[in-house]
Amino acid sequence: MWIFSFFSRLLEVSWTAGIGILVVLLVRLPIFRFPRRLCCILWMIVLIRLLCPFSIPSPLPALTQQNGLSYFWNLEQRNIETLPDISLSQPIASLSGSETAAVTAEVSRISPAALLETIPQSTLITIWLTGVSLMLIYHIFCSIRFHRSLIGSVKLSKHLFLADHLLSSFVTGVFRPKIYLPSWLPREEWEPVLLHEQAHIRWHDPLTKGLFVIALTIHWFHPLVWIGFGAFVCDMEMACDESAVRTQQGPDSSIRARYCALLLRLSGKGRFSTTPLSFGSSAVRQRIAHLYQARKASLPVIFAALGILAALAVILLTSPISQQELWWGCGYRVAEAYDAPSLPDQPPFSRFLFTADHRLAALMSDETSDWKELGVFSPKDYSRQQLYRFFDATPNRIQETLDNAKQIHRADDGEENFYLLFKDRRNTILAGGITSAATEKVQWMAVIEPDVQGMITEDLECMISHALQESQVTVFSLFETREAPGYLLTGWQTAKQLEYSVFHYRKSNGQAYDFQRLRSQAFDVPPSSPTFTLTNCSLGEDGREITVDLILSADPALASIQMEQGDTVSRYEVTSNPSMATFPRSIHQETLWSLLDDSGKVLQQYLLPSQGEAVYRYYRF
Amino acid sequence: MAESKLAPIETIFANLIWSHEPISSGELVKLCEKELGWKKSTTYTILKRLCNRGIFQNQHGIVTSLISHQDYLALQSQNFVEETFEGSLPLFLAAFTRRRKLSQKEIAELQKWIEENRG
Repeated sequence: MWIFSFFSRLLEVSWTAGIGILVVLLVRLPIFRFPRRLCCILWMIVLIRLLCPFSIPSPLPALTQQNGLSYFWNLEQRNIETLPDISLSQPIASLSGSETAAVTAEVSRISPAALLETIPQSTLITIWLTGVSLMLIYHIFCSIRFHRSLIGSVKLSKHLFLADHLLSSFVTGVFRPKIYLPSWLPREEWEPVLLHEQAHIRWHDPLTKGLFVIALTIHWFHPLVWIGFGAFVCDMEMACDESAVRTQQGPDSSIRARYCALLLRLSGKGRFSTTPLSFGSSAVRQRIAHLYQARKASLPVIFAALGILAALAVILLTSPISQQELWWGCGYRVAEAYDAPSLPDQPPFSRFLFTADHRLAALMSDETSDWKELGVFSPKDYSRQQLYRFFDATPNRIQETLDNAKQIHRADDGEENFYLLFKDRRNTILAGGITSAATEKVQWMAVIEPDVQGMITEDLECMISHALQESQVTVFSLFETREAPGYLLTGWQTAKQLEYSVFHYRKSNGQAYDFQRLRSQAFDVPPSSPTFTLTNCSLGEDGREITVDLILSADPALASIQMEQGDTVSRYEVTSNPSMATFPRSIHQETLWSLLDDSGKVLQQYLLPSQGEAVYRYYRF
Repeated sequence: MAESKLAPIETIFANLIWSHEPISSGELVKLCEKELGWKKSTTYTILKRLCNRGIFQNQHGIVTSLISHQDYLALQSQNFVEETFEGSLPLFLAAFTRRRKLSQKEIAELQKWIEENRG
């Protein structure tokens, strides 16, 4: 669902912005005597980062870290024809048959969000949304309270109002800012206050503060954003203090003294409020101290500020062009592990792939469940004796395999593991071993086979999501037929739609397949019931239309489907959600479909005329 | 009654009522629109607030004061003397005459006032 990707992006943004906030907090320390208006501009960068979900690509390394493992169907980024010609392609190509899956895996690092991954994300999102709602309720409450306090104000000019019962003056209104003065303030003290408030208006502070409040609402869970918000408001006030003191005519010291006295008189003990920009709202002590320290920005300070600004913008607003490795390769899985006393281990992974540039990468089955590169294969001319030396004992089966071993390749992971890849008469064998001081011993050995079922779903999901710009695509069913090799029918759904599409995949260079979406439609052939849907659809092109029947059901009560064709009765299992079954059809014969429950009781029956004849493979996921 | 001190804008509003009472609330709305630029709802809100504070009352659309202007001023000066001179009138007078001598006319008025109010 989009909310999940939105949420993980939000965490990333929060994390990056947090670093930016720390930088600005450091810069605004009094010791640097940084003009406050420049601090405010630095806060803008943080603000943009907090609110804008996008990053500008840049070749520089940045602070964002990518989340988790993701697959990427790499059709545009890397042209398969540019891959090097490889010797490894022979063993793989010769055994890959027509069903080899091409897989790309993206390797990534651990993210800060990974710490939270022990809690289910839906729970986190619920907590987050609750927080956002509470913040919104609080804003509404503040806003109502605030506007009630302004009833009975008197308009003096277009932008100037007087109101009773105000502790301080303030500016409010994003598009048409209005200054409100407390009615008790003597007229001769208006000037400095007005100068202060006009500075707010000149710099569009009401707008920025409003945006920061929105950012705070979204990132309420991030303590640094709260601290940053407080500091930002304080910086704005100080900037306007500076400006108000500078603009007044008269001896400097008396202006400052009068201004500080005014600050003290107008300092409200108001609650934390998000609505107006109040004259005496925050940190009066720091502001007075700042007024006495503030110097006009010197040229070096301005240059330093510009430098920090540029650095901050690059760090916060750009993300590096993805340096992640994209791995193309043939997906394989362990078909059968050799079982022998001399082989103490089982393969540590069940899914892996061989890339076109000879690398072995595996989806580790340990707790990381992450893709890991295990080594680069290179051809070896091991003699039979040399091969035997990898084993403590060679029972018959191993011996037979080793005697027929050809096209031997070896990869080392740089630590203690090594891998051997070779073919015997029928199979492809992958073996893994450990190198110790003097010996190299194989610990496990397995027959491997191309992996269609496991990997291709995820690949399709990636491809579909890539093509549709959808963040979350779930492929819930998939099959291909012997009669129409090169075509896949897949059912998939996004948050918005459910669809069956036929994809044509074409072997493009030994290992990889190009995918092309041929047709998509919501297949719906009656009869349908709430518990299941009988549909049919066509595969293939070039006059090779093949029609299949599909039964889809989300009902776990449906245990099986019985098909009666003339005298033949066949029964098929219906899997629970998500499920799909395909069935043979016979020409000119009526077929009676029966849906049976666990005990074999007939739930529903349909008589369907059939055409065509084909046997289809049935995949269950 | 205790919080009878009116804020500056409220004072202007209250003066409008005092100088026109009894006044119908409709008239008051017009008057406030002219003098203060208030909308009808604003006038009613502020009037209600002051009524709740026991200064005015609005009965059947006629606004009258519960505290007269004179009483209000008296209350304010009493509060002022209470707050600033610990309730001591001589102290207040002493402070008042510190910078400026009283004129013969003022002394006569004060003496007359003291004779009238002798307990």
